[in-house]
Amino acid sequence: MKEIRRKSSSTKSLKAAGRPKKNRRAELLSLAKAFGIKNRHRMTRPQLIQALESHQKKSRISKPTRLRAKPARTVPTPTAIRPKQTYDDLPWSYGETELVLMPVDPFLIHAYWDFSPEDWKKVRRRRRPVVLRVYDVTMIRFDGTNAHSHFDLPVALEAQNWYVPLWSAEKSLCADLGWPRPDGSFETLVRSNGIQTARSGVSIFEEARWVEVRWDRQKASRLIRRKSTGATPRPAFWPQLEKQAAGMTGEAAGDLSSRAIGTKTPHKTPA
Amino acid sequence: MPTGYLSLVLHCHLPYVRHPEHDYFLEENWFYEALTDTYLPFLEVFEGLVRDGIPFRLTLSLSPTLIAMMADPLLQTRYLRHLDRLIELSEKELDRTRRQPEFHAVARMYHERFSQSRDRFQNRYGRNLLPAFRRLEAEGVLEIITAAATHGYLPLLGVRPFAVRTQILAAVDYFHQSMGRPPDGLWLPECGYHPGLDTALREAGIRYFFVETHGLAYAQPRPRCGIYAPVYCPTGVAAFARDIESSKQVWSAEEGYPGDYDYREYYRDIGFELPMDYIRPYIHPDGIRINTGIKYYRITGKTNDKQVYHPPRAIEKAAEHAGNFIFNRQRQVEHLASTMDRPPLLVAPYDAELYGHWWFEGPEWINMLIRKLACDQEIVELITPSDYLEKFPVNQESTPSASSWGNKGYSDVWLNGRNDWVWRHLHKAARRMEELVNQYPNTGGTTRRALNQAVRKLLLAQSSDWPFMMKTGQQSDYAVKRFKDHVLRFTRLADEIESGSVDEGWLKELEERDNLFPDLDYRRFRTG
Repeated sequence: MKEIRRKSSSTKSLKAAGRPKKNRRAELLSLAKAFGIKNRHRMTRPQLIQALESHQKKSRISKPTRLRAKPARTVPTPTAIRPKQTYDDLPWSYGETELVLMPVDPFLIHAYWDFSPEDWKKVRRRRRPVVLRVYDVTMIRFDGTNAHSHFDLPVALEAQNWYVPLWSAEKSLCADLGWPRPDGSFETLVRSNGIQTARSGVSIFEEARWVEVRWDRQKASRLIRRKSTGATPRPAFWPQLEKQAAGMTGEAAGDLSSRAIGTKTPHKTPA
Repeated sequence: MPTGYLSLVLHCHLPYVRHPEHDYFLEENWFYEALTDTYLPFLEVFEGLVRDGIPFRLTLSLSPTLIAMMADPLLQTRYLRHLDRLIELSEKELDRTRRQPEFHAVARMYHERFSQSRDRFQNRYGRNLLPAFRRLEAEGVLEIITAAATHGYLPLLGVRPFAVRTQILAAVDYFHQSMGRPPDGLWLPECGYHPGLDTALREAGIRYFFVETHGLAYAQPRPRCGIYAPVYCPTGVAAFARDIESSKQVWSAEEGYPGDYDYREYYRDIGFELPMDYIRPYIHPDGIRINTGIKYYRITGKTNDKQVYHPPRAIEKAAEHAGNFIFNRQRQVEHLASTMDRPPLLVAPYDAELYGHWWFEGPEWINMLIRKLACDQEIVELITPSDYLEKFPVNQESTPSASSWGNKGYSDVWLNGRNDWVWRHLHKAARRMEELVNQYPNTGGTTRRALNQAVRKLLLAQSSDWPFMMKTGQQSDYAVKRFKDHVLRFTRLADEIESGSVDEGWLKELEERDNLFPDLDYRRFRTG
């Protein structure tokens, strides 16, 4: 998956974002798993594609197909938003316009949004589809116009959330929902929070600054003294450590987050 | 001076599960099983080591929800009832297996184990294990730290910094009230870290935390000592990284010790194997078969034809594995020490419930490990993070990379198609709570009680256990129900506070039901 994301070079548009460019069997299998397609492991690549297509037709999944499946939810129309909370079930909307980004991993972010009833009316009145514009604002103070680059992603607004695959890590990002204008500018309906995606490898900065911290337990306070600075040689264990760290973040990485409680099955069963 | 140091960290956490409204509640068994399988055996091992004069230093992270459950009289009483039923079942098992000597020996082991657990829990510890852990800390063998208040996954809660700050401050305050001193370290739930989190830790007076291997390997600037020494974040809070080699030897399904064929098989419990008429009084009242804790077989191999468990042989194997673990750590530190200007530090954190609950012989492995480390060699020495920082106060300054110990190393486990819907509600609730806290800077009476309870509800909804269970599909319905209940009750409380019409009867009911963090004061979380 990462390979595919990295191959994408254009930052101007990502028409097929969310759809693997080359459907490898492993990716098809993971999609099939997400959609609960049975006997998927016995299928060949063409059979998997057929099964996924027929599933799409059946479930009327809006295109583009997302990399990650969401639980199927009945999405009520905005008019069905309850004016008053009844405490029976969580509301579909809180009636406030907002767009929130969260990083999933260095190459994937998640966006969710909500609108006020007025904004719902506004987006419905407009015939043009709303797009999610994602800005790369790494190391700048973003004023709405000075992003390093951006890409637009058509989204199904009623889904209220979207996964956005990326092709480079360690970026500061923010996003707008709105409408692109013919002159290249953007009519913003709502702007998101800013996020930072994680680094996906070892840092290129090697300058070492050593610090002495003296801790006073009674006061829970610290005395920090900056010591020396300067680049230092890299010890011989680094190549091995780099390999181990990469193993922690790969597709085949083990899950060590299990909560070994009750009858829950741990990810790594002893047997 | 030893060639290298080993820091064993046992992270003890369970979600807050307490249902006074039901006489029997299946999910409460998680706590009872953990007491019998893990925490009581830990205390027995540590007290035995102290009694025998074995010097050791070990770090124990007790999550605030677990502390609250340990201190709760209702759960204490129910645990005794649970043990009574187990003792009764084990007595019946003694009779049932009397003509099968191999099975009978195992049945006797369980009978003695349950009876001793009851005796120690009731008579020795007065139903509360916390003072026993405190005594061990006073003996100088344990360093007890805590985790975020309800084990909230902080990188994703971080969209609202208020939520992160509340998780940390509530945890530190509750730990202080329960243990008599503030914690030096804080276990970041799921080792979830994102740059900037250390600012909230520093505000709460935290000295150190732990990150996953790549959290430090990918830190910036690149740490010269890799993951074999801590770094200081720009705030002066120290970050220690997990050593993957020592972790894998215990965790891994393929290479890990717990899969040894002589160890007890977890998945062959009499709750699923014996006739319903016989086992019915000891399973779920509705006739749902559950684990009872009595298991007669050893892993044997990749076969369904399991052999009978042989406790002495399994104990022998645990000792052998402890020796093997030490041998590997010795070679590891010798190799690393040749390339470093200080003794390397290996940090080995584990979910405590792995020991005893999943890996039945785990506590005995820890027992043998500590004894062998203390008596048989001088190359590797046990150390706690605080001791290490006292010995080596000079460390490199660096900012760890965002990371977690979940699958693929980031937030995928807690943010995916099965659980992504929870975050909008959590963020909304956190924002609303922040507004309320700042709107009522110093109120009293019923409104204050309602605000305190709203914070408790918010914290309970934030537990990382709910999205985790939704992701795995195990007890997913329960997780969804708990999450929704907490958010909906929070919303109703917030609505009532805002409208000035708090239903006092309902508030009292909530206070009795979700009674954790009794001294929590919402004013502590003011930001405005």
